[in-house]
Amino acid sequence: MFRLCSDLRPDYPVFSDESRDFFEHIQKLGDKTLKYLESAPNEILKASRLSSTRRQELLDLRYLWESLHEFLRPALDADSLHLPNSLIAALHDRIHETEEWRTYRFTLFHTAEANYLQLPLGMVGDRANDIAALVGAEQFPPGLGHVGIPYSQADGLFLNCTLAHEMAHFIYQRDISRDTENRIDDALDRMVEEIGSLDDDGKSLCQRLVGNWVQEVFCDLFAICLIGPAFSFAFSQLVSASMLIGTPNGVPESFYKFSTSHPAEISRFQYHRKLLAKLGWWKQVRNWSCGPVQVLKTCTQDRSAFSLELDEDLPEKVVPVRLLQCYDEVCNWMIREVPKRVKGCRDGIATFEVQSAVIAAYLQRAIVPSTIIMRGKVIHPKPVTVINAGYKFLFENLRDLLSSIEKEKPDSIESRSRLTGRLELWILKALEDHRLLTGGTVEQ
Amino acid sequence: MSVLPQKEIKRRLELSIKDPASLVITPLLERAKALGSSSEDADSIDLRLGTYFLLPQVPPVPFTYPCKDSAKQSHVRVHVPLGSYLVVPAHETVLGSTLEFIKLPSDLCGEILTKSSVARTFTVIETAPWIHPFYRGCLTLEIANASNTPLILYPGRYIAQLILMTIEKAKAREQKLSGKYLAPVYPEAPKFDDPEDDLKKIGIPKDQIRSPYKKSQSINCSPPHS
Repeated sequence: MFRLCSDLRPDYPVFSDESRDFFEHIQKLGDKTLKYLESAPNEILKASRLSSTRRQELLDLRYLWESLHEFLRPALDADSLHLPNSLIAALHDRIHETEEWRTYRFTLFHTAEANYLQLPLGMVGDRANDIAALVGAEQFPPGLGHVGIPYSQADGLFLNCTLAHEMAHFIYQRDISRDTENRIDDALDRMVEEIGSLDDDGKSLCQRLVGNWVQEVFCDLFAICLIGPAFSFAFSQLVSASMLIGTPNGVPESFYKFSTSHPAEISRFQYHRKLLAKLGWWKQVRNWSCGPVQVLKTCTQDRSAFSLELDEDLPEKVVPVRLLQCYDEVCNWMIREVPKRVKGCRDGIATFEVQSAVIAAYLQRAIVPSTIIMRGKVIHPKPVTVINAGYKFLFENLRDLLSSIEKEKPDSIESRSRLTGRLELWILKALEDHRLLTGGTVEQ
Repeated sequence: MSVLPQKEIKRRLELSIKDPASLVITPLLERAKALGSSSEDADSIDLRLGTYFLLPQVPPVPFTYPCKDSAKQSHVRVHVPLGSYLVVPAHETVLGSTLEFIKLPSDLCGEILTKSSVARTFTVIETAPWIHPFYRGCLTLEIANASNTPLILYPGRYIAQLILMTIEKAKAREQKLSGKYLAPVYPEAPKFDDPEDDLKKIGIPKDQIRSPYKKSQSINCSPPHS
C-alpha cells in the first residue's frame, strides 16, 4: 500500500490542482513511510528498549494508512473526464470572492452512494497529520476539503449544484461552528431555564441535535448565497420534493421528520424561501411554473406536523416543539448572518433579471450562451446568472426546444432526458468559456 | 456564392440572437486577431483547438463497421486541459473539436480549412470541411498527422480557418434544428444507422446484405492457392 502511494503518478488522467495536491501529499507520506519502515529494524536493534514503542507506532501507522486507503481510489476515479469541472471551478471562484476563504479548495471524489457528502473536517487531514508526525513528513494542506459526488452524476450540471452545500460543510466546520455553538448554547440555556434543569447528558444530546440540524441549514443558506435558487431546485430534485405537491393522499410523513443528523426537508425549504426572499431572488422565481417553486410555496404553510425520529430518546423534560424552537432561533439568526459573510450573494440577481430572457433565447436555439448580445453590446454572463437561467429554461422552455427539433417528440420522457443532458453540456461549456473570456484561471 | 467579408462578419456577430441573420462564435478570444487583423486574413476567422479528443480504438475485429453500435465502441475520450498537450503519433488520427462554438444563420454556409502554417507540418484537420447553413456546435475536427514524426497539439492554439459564404438568393430565417448531432460541444463519435436500414431504403432486401461478421458471406480477397 505504501509503495503504491509512493508511486502515485497523477499525470494522466488529468486531475484538478486540488486533487493533484492531495495525491502529491499522499505520495510524500508514502515515501516517508517507506523510509521509516526501512530504518525501523536497525533503529530497534540499536535501542531495544524502544521496541515496544516502535511496535505501537507500527500498529498506529497500519491503522492510519488503512483509513486513508479508502479515500484514495474514489479520488483517483474522479478525474477531469468524470467531474463537472467548470461548475466546480465556478463554485471555487465564488467561494474565493470572500477574502477569508480564499485558501479553501476541494478535492472531489466519487461515491458509490446516490448522494453527495463531505468528509468531516479532519477525517483525512488529521489522519494524514498523524502519519506525518510518526514518519516526519509535512503537514496536510490546511485549506483542502474533500467532497463526494455520486459517480453517476459525473458530467451533469443541475443536480451537482448541491456540491455548494457540501463545500459549505467544510467552511462551517472550520469557521462558523464556534459562533453557532454559542448561539445554540444561549437558546438551549433559555429552554433549560423554562424546564427547570437538565443533566449534562441531556444537554449534550440537545446540543448535538440542534448543532447537526443547524449545520445543514447553514450549508443550504450558504449554497443559496453562492449560486442562488439553483441550489434549492437541485436539492428539491435530490430529495424528490415533487412528492410534496399534487399528491392525492397527502404529503409523505418523511418530509416532516427531523432525524438525528438532518432537519426535516420541509423545514429546510422554509428557510430556503426565507433567504431567497431576503436576498431578492424570490420575486425573480415566484412565478415560474415548475415543481421546485411550487414546493417552496407549499412548504411555508405548515409547521405543525414536524416530528422527531431520533437514534436516542430525548430527555423526558425536553418537549420536541420547544427543542425545535431553539433550532428556529438559531436558523433565523443565520438568515441574517450568512448573507453578511458570503460576498457577492446578491450580485447575480440584477444580471439574472435582465439577461435570463436573452440567455433563454440562445438556449432555445441550441446555442451556448457564453457570449450574448444585448442592445448591440457583447456580454459574457456570469456563472450564477447562466446556471439559474439554465434552470429556468429547463423548467419552462425545454418542451419548446424539443418542439423545434426535427423528429423529436415533445412529450417523450426519453427525449426530454436526452435534451436535458445537452442543456447541461451547453451550460457547462458556457461556464468554461466565461473563465477564458473574463481572464479567470485557466481550466484544470 | 460569395465569401463573407470581415465587415459583414463583425456586423452579424453583433446582431441580436433573435435576428435570423445573426452569427455566433464563442468564446472569441483575442477578438481582433481571430477576425484577421492583417489584410490577407481579413475574410476568415481563426479557430482554436478544443480540449477534448476522441482517440480511435483498435477495434476487436479487424475492420471498422459503421453501424448503430459503432459510436459506443470506436473511441476513447481524452481531456487535455489548456497548458497540456496531446501527442499524435506519425500517420495516426484523432477526433478533436474547435474551442469555439459556432452558430451559422440559414443564409450562410462555411468551410473549415487547416491554418496554412499548421498544414505545413503535414497536419490535416478536416476531411469533411463543409459546414451547412444553420449549423450550430463546436466543429468536429478529423485530425490526421500525415507526417513521419509524432506531432504535438496544444489545445487553445489556432488550428483552423473558417471561411463563411453567402448562399445566393437565400434569406436568413429560423428553421427546425437537426437532432442527429445537436449542437455538440465536444467531438462526438460518428452516428450511423445499420447498413441494413440504409440499404433497405433503396430496395436492397436484408438477406442480400453481406455481414462482415459472417464468414460464409464475405467476399474472399485472399490470393488463390498456387
